Amino acid sequence: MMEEIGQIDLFERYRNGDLNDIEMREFDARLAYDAEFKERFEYYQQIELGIETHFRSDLKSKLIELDQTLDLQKPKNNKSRVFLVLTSSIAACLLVGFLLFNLLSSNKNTDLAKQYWPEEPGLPVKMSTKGKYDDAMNAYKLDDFSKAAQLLENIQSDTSNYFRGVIAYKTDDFKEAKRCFIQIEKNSVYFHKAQFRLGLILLSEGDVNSAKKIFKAHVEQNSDFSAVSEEILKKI
Amino acid sequence: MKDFRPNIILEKLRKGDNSPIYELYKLYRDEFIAWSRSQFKTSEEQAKDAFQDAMLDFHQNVIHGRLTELSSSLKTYLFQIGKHKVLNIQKKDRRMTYHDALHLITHGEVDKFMEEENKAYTQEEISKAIEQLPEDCQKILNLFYFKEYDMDSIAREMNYKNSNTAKSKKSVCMKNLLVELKKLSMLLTL
Repeated sequence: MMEEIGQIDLFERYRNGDLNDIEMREFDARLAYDAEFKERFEYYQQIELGIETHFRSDLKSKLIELDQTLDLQKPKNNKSRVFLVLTSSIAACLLVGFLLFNLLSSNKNTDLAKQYWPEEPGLPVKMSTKGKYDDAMNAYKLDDFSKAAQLLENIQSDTSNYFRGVIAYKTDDFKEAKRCFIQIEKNSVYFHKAQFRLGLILLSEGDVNSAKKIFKAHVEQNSDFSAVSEEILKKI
Repeated sequence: MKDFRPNIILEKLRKGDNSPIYELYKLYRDEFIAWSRSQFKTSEEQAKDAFQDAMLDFHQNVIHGRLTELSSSLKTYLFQIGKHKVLNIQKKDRRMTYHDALHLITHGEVDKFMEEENKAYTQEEISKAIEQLPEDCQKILNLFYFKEYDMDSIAREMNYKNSNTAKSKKSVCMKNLLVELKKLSMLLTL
């Protein structure tokens, strides 16, 4: 054991460059002629290499541990990732499709409503006598819808409601138009006109089911608008 | 936010701070795996192994003074080392597959293979022996053989009086290591 330790000291001094020139020459010479000494020195060098490898492996082990942590943070496996990507893609396609469908349907229904919206010429204004709707109708015919609506407001009647509904539609106030048309009762001469226009507004807004009900009612009741309602029903 | 400027990273590693190794590994690992899988058709495990070795070589090159500045980006440098590691691993794996079919190879090749196996066993014994050493000895051996500190630096790091104290201490640690190896019946004669 003492001999071994002595040689370790010598190897250490050689390794640290602490041998003088004579000692160094002796060391190198002994490596050349003493096979056992050479073998022991090679073994010492192998241990040195082993020490370096050990600490390198130690750092690598820490990277492997880090790997495991990183892997845990990732999605469980490729299948779940593929599934996630697939479902996301399908959902995105459906969403885009739905939006496109809605956009196209909405445009189609709006166009249909505009196409079938009957032009309302307004009530005739007689030169000989002054009627209570004359001023409003004159304004209406001059496309002065604001004035016409204001004048009609002062008159409580189905006629007033009907024309105010028409004016509201012309000025894109669909909510007000619907409110006016709904107020017109069944026994009114404006009822079917108002209901038909109400159906068109609902269609334009995308409330297809409600619009269909109204148009079907026209067909069933064989109103003046039954033929055109049937035509619209075929198109929606 | 981590500072990934190359000069800062090299400086930290030179000072014995290994944290950039872990940070860089986290930053580039997944990208390297994807790259090596597409470029070299490696498995994920091979890619990880290669990139770990690349990180270790990078670390060694810095602390041994072989890498003092970068002419390319850090990522390019790491990926280049990683590429060679991947190719080596693939070669090694092909060789191991060949050795698995022992009946196909010559006696000389069997001897060589068994010698390699024995060396791996020796490394295991050396590692066990190191782990039996006191903490300060393990640290000195780490500083000297892995981080390649000179004796003055070891003395500073370990708060020893001077480099001679560090040399003596290191020598004692080597002797203790031999004792541990003896215990493990590893040492034949020395």
